[in-house]
Amino acid sequence: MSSVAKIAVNPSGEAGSDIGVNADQSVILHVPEMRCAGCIASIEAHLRQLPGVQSARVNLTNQQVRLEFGAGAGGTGKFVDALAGIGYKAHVIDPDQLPDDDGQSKALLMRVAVAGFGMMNVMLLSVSVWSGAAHATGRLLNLVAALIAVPVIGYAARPFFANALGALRAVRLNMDVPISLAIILAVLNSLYTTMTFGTHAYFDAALALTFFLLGGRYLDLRVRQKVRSAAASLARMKATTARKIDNDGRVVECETADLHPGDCLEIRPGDMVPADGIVEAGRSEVDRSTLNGEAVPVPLTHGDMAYSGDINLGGVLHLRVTAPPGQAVLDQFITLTSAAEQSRNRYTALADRAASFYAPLVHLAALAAFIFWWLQGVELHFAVDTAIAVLIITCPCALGLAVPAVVSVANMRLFSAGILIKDGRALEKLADVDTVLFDKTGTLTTGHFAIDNLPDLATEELAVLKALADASHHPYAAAILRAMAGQGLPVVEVCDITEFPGEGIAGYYKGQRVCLGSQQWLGPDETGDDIAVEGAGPIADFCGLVLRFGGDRDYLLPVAEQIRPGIADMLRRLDELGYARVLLTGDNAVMAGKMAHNLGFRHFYPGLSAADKIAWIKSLQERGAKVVMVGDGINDMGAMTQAGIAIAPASARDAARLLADVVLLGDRLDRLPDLLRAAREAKTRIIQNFALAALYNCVAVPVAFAGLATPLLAALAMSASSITVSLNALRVRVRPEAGGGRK
Amino acid sequence: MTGLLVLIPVSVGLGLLGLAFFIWSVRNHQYDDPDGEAQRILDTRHDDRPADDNTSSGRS
Repeated sequence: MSSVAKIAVNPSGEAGSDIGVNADQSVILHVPEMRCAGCIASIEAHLRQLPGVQSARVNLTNQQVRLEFGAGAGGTGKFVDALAGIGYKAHVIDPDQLPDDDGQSKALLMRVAVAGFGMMNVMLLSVSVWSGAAHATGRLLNLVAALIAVPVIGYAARPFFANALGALRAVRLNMDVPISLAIILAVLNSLYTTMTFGTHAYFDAALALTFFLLGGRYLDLRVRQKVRSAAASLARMKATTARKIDNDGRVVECETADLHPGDCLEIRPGDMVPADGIVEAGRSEVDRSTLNGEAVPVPLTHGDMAYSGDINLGGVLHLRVTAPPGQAVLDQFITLTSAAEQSRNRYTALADRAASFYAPLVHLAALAAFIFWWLQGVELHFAVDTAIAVLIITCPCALGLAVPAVVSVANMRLFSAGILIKDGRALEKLADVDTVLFDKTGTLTTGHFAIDNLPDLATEELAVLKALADASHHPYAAAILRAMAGQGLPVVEVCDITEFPGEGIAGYYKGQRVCLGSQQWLGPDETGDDIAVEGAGPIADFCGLVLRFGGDRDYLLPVAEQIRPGIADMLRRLDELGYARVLLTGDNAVMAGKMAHNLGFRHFYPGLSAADKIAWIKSLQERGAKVVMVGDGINDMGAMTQAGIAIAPASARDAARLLADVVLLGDRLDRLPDLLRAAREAKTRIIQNFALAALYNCVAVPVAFAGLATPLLAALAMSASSITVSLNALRVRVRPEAGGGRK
Repeated sequence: MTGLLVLIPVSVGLGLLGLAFFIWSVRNHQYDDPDGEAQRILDTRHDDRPADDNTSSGRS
């Protein structure tokens, strides 16, 4: 899995995009939400008026904006912020992850055009031959057709030849082998026919085959390209600079990539830890949800390990780097992930299964036709002719189109519904799924905390609470501020505010001590109010904060993880569709249990480590369940790989998003049932298409075998079956977005 | 039948002309962003060409 390998090599992705901006750089942003002329105009106009920006050009098809900027434009983050300012979510695309599809798709489009040109002209000439041109005229027409067909096929059909050759070298058969064989033999046989004044030239059939199949491939590539550009944008900007304390005790900024073990770093509140290290000085709390998926902050003090990706929430930390960035604790997840890889690769796509069954059959049928007629003692040319007719007819475009047509239609429609299919086989795999596994933090929840209802406080007391919360970087404090947003509170002065990492924050208001923090820290108040929380330790402080004025007035602030909007509805629809659903989480039983109960999960498994999750999925798979994992964290990666198919919200960590087969754009988990339903429907259509192709063979093969097939019949049958299959593919529907509400 | 000697080259020549035109349009970035061009026509700000070469050709 190259994406996993990539993490190990270069975890920071966009190294250096924020510092050292030189003149004339360019950057590509992915803006998933733009859809219309108005979006194009406002985005381009807004970006062009930023200082230093030389040009901004939207590509709506790929949903990208390409920016050229010179010195003075600041970092690329500025552009993302600027777009956020006018209401568009944007991500910087890591150019390394954007494969050069553009050139590829252009080359393919050229081939399609050339094949189309050849097909039409040769068809024109062939029609004259079919309608009776013979002798010198017929020969002339065939000759002209040959002159067009040979160079056209030599150019246009090269991708098939290359693929077939690759397969043969590896001693395998894929669909490109019979396709190439049919094209080459048809051309050779037709050349021979032309030279010997025959009339049954198959130039048009060879060209039609090439044209239809190239068309299918072009559509396929076009979808993949769109999808890839979105996938590449998933490289989020990470901490690219670090504050290093040099030997003289000065703090210098340096690039994350330049860090070495032994360096001493200063991590300020709000910073992301750039490399694994041991805390040498300071006390704080960090948000470690990147690694363990838990929303509860981890307290750190002298001697504790801090891991890259941790976000410092409290005081300043001094860190001694123990591992260079990229070789950090991520390694253990990568090991787990690659161990689980086997299960992922065991799946064979329907098309490959069909091809491995069908390709030998095609060859055998052609060979049988040849041997049969040869034994009958007819002339050799007739036997070869019949064998080729069988080969051309059994090797229909319909089969080549059966899967790609459905997949590209489904992908296109899902994409416009905000669902990004990254892996071509994802739909087929999803169609078989019967159990949906959810991670909790960051997947079902937003990863933020929320306070549903503030206690009944006087305005003045609320203002004090706001002042305390303002002074802290803790996620609980952010939740408090969010809950109070827009209340227009007066500004009050709270003096001597001190933060006690892992415990709380305290200060003095009008000479009275005010504290905000966990219950263990504050202890029971003087009136002996027992706030009902079972258990001790971190569980207790998870369930609520206490705001205390002086020594007697306590208020409980219930803190809970914020559940994504629409989750309950989504889960209900999953139940209706008959999926089993399971909650797997690393969080503790109390909190997860409460949420599992609220959301109606019958099965939930708290306290699982990354390895536990993998083992758990494995046992489920051994019992025959087909699972899909919905997760977002680095700690889910092993589980996502083991599940064989994985879905991630767009807000997931880079690595998890890269690993996922499906990404739900716009962080809308509520489209999940639509995705599963569309996958089932797509699979039905694929099977129908195979059936159509088989039906067509049942009729055409006996005719060809009997030596009655003419080039005209081949051309008719080929076009008819291709069109039926494509039309059938167009029937795949995706439920239109409920309520609309998009730009 | 001698008419064929004229008509066939003419028809093939016209076909080639069409092909050449198409290849030109592909090279001219007209197929890079079909959705975008379809929307841009609705923009009141006039935009009379697909893209400046230096803005859209970067990857090709």
